[in-house]
Amino acid sequence: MYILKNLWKNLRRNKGRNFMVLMIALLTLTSVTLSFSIKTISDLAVTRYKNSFGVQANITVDWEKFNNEIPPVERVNADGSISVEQNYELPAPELADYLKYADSAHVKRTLYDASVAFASDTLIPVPNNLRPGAEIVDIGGMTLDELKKFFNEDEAGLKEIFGSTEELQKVMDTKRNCIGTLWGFTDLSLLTDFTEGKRKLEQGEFPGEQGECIVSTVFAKQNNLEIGDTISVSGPNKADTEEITLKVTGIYADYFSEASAAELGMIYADVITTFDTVMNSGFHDISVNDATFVLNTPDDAPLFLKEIHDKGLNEYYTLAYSTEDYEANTKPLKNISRIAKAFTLAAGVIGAAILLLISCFNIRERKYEIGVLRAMGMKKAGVAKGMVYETLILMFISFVLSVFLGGVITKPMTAALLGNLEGVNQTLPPVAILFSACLSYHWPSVCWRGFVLYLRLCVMNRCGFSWKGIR
Amino acid sequence: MVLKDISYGYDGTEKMVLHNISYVFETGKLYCITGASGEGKTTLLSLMAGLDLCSCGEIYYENRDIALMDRDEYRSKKVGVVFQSYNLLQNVTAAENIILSMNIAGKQGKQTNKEAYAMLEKVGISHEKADRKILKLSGGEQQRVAIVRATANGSPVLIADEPTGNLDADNEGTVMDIFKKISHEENKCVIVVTHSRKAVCEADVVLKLHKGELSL
Repeated sequence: MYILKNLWKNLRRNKGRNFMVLMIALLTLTSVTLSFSIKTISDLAVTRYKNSFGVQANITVDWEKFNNEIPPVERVNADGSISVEQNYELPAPELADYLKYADSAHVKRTLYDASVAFASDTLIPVPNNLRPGAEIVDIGGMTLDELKKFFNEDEAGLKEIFGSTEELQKVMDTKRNCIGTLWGFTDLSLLTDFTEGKRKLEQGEFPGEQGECIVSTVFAKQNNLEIGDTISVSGPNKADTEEITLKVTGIYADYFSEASAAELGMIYADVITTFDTVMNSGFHDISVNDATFVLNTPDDAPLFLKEIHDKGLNEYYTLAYSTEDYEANTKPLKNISRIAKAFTLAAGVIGAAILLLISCFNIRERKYEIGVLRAMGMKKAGVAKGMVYETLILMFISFVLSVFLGGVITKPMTAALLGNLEGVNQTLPPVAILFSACLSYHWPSVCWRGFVLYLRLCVMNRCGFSWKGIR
Repeated sequence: MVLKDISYGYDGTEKMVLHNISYVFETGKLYCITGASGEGKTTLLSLMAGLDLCSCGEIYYENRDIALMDRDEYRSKKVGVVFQSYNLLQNVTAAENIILSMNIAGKQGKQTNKEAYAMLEKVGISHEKADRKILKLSGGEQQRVAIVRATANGSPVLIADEPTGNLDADNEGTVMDIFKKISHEENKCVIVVTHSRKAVCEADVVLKLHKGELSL
């Protein structure tokens, strides 16, 4: 009991030394707590980023495998020219297939885009702005005779040109007044023309709900459209008698190169809407152009590929994905985490070394006191207990203060380093507090080991403190 | 306390500082051990105080070999030591030095505080001075505190190593009077190593240590 009573007195009596130990321990523990917090938060941010970001993958033809296993054949045309053709037609996945593939544990979400031509009796088509002498002939809606005349082929020749009787029929069934294309997307990230700067939203906003759309400035000018106006369009097939009404929510400008923009004036007639608008329009000849699968992590890609092959995807299809964005975005966080880890280690080791040295100097300074106490008959364990308790109390105070300081500094520090990452709680993580507590708890024992070693080396002889040592 | 054929040589040297010393110290007497510097007086005291062990021979205390005893307990309860340079804890008060010594000897409680002040009062350290830090006391006062601390544990043997070496004549007289009182009135065995003629004159028994041998 008297050891504990003396403990408080000793702490008060040796204010200067104890304050120095306290400050060093506090600075070290705060550094360790802070760096450990940053490490934990950056690790957490990486994990959350992994979960939120995902990796985009598309189904694409594995041309290398395809050409190796089914080599293209050369064909001599009627005019004597030689063309290289693939006789094997790969079956393209349809919407039902994509939906089946999307139902996977590896897929976070799936992005679709679909398109369909639209016809209108009221909307004025945009001019093609072709070069003088150039002409675009729309074959949609031509009769069989007109097509035969246009291509100078018989019916068998036409079937070969269009690929099948169904495709030939589809051309003949097309309305004559198709003036543009309706594009539907499930996610704005699929609008690559906008992300690449080829198109820019000038007014209004992107379509968010079914029945909303954006149109080009040229198309809007041609038809005197403003934001909030509505347009009515029907499907491209002669059987599409019903019209749908779309509300204009935005107007975009095209910044394609002059050549492509002028020659392909049709791009001015692109009406961009939501995927659901296209799919629920009821129009014929809707084509699902692509499905982009957002996978959980890059590691999911090979597993997902195997799964979709098992689900029936043709073996000549593969997955195209890039981890560059993923790596580029997570790399800085990983670097911060690594630096914080190294700093934690360095701060811990340097702090422990400094405290060990202080402890040794402390023992040296208190050699006289230890000698007197031992001469008075205090047991070694009693002397040790008092000193370890003193260190423990100092460490406990340092720990509490460092947790407080760490808590105050962590938030602005992590905000400065990591920015305002969504979902990352920038307060002191419990694991950092536990780590700091563990460190502060173990320091006295580290110091004590140093103390014992020091005593063995310098102070104690075979039976305790020598008489001269006490004097 | 009985010394039986004790010899002592420092580690790493073959030369023995003390040779086959035998003697019986009795309670109620004040002993003075004299001798030239380097004769082994302090070494002899350190052996009797249990701070070191003899190379040969035994020291018996109450018929028990102190080498076989718990020497921490021996130092805390059986023997008190006074040093020439006082060796008090400097960052605590005089009273706290005494109380700590009593605590180590196993005496606890509020009564110890009163006892400590009373004991200090007996040697002329007032209550006010008892609450002063050691460094704020004079050399003579510090030595009196050291003597009280050595006896506060209730030990029957008091060993003092040149306790008057740092004191003036007046204080030397005071300290020797205290030793006499302790030995005669409290029936304790007081063993003092000294060079002082005045101190020697006060002793009941004077022993001389010469070339490692103790003689009357």
